[in-house]
Amino acid sequence: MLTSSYSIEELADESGFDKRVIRSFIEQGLLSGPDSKGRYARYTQGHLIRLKAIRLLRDQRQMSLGEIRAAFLSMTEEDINALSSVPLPPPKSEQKSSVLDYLRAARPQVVDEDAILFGEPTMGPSPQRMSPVEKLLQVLQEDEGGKRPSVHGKAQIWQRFSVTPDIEISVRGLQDGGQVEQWERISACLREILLGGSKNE
Amino acid sequence: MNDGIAVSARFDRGLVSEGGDSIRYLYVELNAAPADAEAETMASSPLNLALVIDSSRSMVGERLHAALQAAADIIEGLDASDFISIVSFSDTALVHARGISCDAEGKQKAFDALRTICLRAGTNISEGWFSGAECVGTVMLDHSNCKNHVLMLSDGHANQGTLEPAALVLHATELQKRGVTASAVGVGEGYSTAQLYAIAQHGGGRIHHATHPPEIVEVVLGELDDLRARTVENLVVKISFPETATLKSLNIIPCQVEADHARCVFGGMSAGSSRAAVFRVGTNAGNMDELVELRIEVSWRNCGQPLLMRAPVCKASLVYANLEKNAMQAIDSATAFSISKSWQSWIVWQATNLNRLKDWTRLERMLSRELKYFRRFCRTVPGAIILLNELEELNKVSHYDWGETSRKEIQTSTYTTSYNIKDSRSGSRKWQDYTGEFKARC
Repeated sequence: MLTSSYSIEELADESGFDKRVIRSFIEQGLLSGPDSKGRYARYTQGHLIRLKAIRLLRDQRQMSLGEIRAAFLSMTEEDINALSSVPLPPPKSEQKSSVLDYLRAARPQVVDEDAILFGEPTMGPSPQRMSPVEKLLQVLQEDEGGKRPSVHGKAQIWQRFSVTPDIEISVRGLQDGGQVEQWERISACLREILLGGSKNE
Repeated sequence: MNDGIAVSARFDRGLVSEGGDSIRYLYVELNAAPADAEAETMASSPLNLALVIDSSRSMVGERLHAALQAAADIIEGLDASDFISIVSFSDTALVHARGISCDAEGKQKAFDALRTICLRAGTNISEGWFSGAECVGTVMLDHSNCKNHVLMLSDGHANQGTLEPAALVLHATELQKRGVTASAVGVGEGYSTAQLYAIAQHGGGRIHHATHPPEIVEVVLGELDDLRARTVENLVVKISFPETATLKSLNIIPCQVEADHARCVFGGMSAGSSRAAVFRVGTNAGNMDELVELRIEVSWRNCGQPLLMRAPVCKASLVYANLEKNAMQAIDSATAFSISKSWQSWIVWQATNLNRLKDWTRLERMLSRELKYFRRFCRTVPGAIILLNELEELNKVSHYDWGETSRKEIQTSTYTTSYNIKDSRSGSRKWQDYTGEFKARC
């Protein structure tokens, strides 16, 4: 038999939300506080159900927290329960790819199995296996001589450049039309790389 | 319904002095549910296994031959639903086979891959391990119901890559959390106990020792049996204690003790098996009849299932009593004997580590302190006097260099006792067998 009582850490593990996020949900009235206070504060199955429902509404139905709070007001416990049982992708910490993500972060270089064909290990993913975005990053890094571009702009006005229907670049601190034109050209180059037909291929 | 893990926690004695300074011993026991249909389903999850073989030059000859034979036997023993990856490592790692399905054709590919392993210079254990874990992680993308495991085999100290045991512990813990466990086979006397134990103990697997090359095959096949039988993974015990108490772990099983709780990593278990941990609990002064309550929380994952399971919170309490009542209380003999067995293994384990470091001052201090407690404890425990005598014998030879082969055998013996598991080798010996030899040598 399994318990229905959780510490904040366990609730975070089970729901996939960070502890701080759970506490902020409590502060914002989306979730009631723990049943007991202090070091041994315990949460119930009801808390977990509500968190799962929040996750579904926020991630799958793109509702804001305010909308979720309002929706909860008009829902019965059964409604919330039903929402929580809708299958969801596992929390980030449990996603299948997280092993590979962790390993990528843990070691700077990755051994490629092509090594076996050529006798020496190849470090880093081969260009043929790169996603368009990885290719783009490589191209940009090469163009910049490996320098990391500054992320701090001085002006407060953002200029937006559309690359594809799903990607746009926002730049602030542009001083004149020449710079705008440069960014338009960059956007066009990026579009070419991402959608195919790049001169780099 | 399979209940997973049953938890019990009890003290050798239930009363403590209201004046403070009492010492009691807590025994936490975990029992995996016996084999039933559900346990069988968990145990029969497909294996997603990476064999990571040391191909440094020290493996030349019989060792590499035995390692490859063991790998071939493993491949032969896998089912069509299993997956195998083969990695060798020296200064770098080479992936010879990545997530091959073990049908007849796949097995042939894996056998062919084994033939491409050759000796090279250097020992980069972490790179081999990471490469094995990466292969396993790739299979996990499409197959979520597997037991995902990396089996390392090495005879040396890592001299490249991640060397620090603390860093290896961190990686092992993180990979285990992500569903990839690790075991290690140490070959000969030259491997780094600290490095391989860090990977295996914190990676939720187990460590094997093979003194002679033929034992490699025995332990590797033993590991396959363990892996097949495993029903529970990522088993962690958290013990919370109040400000009025202190807690010290007396376990080979890794336990991190913080100001108000201890966290012990038990790793995997098979159906019907049991594990235990022992803690020395000290108490401050308190009011008569008040409780010192410890909470024991246990979590795990059933093999092939992503959900984190939890046992009901278990509590173990001590009660403050006056001097007279405290002195008159009876001891729980059965629990006390189990405590003394686990505790003894831990003392021998610690002594072996300090003997390896030739840190005679700390060794003498540790043995003197623990024997003082142990003598006092064993006086009242039926049968425990034998355990005390064994330790007294060890104490007499503690200040001589035992030699690395003996040290590794002693640690394997205490490790298997502490984890309540079998040494797969037919020629394994108990640590007590070595004491007489040391005396004769001295």
